[in-house]
Amino acid sequence: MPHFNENEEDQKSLPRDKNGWDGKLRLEPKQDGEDQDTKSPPDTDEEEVGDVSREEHAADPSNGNVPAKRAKIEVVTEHPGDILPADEDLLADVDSTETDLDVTHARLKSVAALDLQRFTQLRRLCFRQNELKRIHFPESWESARTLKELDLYDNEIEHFDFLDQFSELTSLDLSFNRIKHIRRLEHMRKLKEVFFVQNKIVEIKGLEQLTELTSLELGANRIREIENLDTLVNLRELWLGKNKITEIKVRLLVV
Amino acid sequence: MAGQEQDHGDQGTSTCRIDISMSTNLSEQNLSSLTNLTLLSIQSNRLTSASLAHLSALPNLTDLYISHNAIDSLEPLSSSHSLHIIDVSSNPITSLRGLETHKEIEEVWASNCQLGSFEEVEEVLADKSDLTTVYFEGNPLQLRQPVLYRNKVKLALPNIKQIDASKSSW
Repeated sequence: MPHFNENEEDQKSLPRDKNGWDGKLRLEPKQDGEDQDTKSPPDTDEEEVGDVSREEHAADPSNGNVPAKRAKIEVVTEHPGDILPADEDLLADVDSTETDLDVTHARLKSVAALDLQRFTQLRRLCFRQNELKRIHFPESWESARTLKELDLYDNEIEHFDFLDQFSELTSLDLSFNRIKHIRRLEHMRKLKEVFFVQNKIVEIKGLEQLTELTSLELGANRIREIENLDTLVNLRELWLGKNKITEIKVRLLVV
Repeated sequence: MAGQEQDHGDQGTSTCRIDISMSTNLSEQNLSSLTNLTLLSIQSNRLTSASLAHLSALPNLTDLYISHNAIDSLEPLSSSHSLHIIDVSSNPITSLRGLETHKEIEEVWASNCQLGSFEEVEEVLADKSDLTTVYFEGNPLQLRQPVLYRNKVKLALPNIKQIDASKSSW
């Protein structure tokens, strides 16, 4: 067999160590279909809302058998002796009145086991450096009305349609993810700073209504034109380094 | 208004410039809606010098970072609001002309360009009373006479506090 585990769809062309391991932790595929959530979806634009409904249902705490399933998904199986604690324990000792949660570099693939529902007054939430593709926040979450800062730097996010309930955010960091299009931010009218460093964004679009923005970071993307910024009258800093911009265009206000 | 939007063809840039020069109102309705923009970073892109003229529509721009582009002249900046910081490193500029009018300039970052004349450095920058820092490393200025280089910069700009990455050593 020339390739390691070649039936895994997200295995191709990743760097590997001498044992053929690509540094990623996944569930063994043989456990009758329960591992589906850990596989990457195909990298296409068509995959828009994807499997949200299924996973949101799974995240519902009323569904009794889900936490056990989630916990199992987090367990490392490829390297014996390298077993991590299940992520449901990560916040177990944190008081539910906490306003600032930080789960950085914890190999999180899902937040379902963190029981976020019980945190009702969060102001800052940070999931930096994890392996999140989508985040299934509790529905009608009280903290969605108090959260000001959300930091999802360095994850595997392509679409952020799971942010619809957060309308009070002032700071959003989605740097080092896999975003191609800026969509579904219109409701975050209070945003002051947005970070999209090192994604795959091809055009500046979808920010027109965020008129409170003072800082916009779009460095290291695939942007070719400076456009659709006319309405951002409060913008003080505009970062566009490492893109494909050939000219500073003067665009007319399109109203 | 939308009818006057510039085309996207090869002539896009020049059409744009003509629009601005012919109609102040037009330019004021464009980029100048970003009246609060103080910092603009377009490093490591593919800008040419023609684009720089449009920056005059930004009335409060003070920090401009345009290193690693294809800019060969700063002259289009002469109509801009006075910058405080410019980073134009790693561009094929042979001259600092265009910065004469930038009376409030504090830092000029111009490493790895094609600057060759100490006389010109003096002419363009010597009267800038707020200027504290210059980077000229990797220019013919420095490569031609690496031993004399720092002293020559200091002679041209007597009030300078920092030349390249080191603050003292004179």
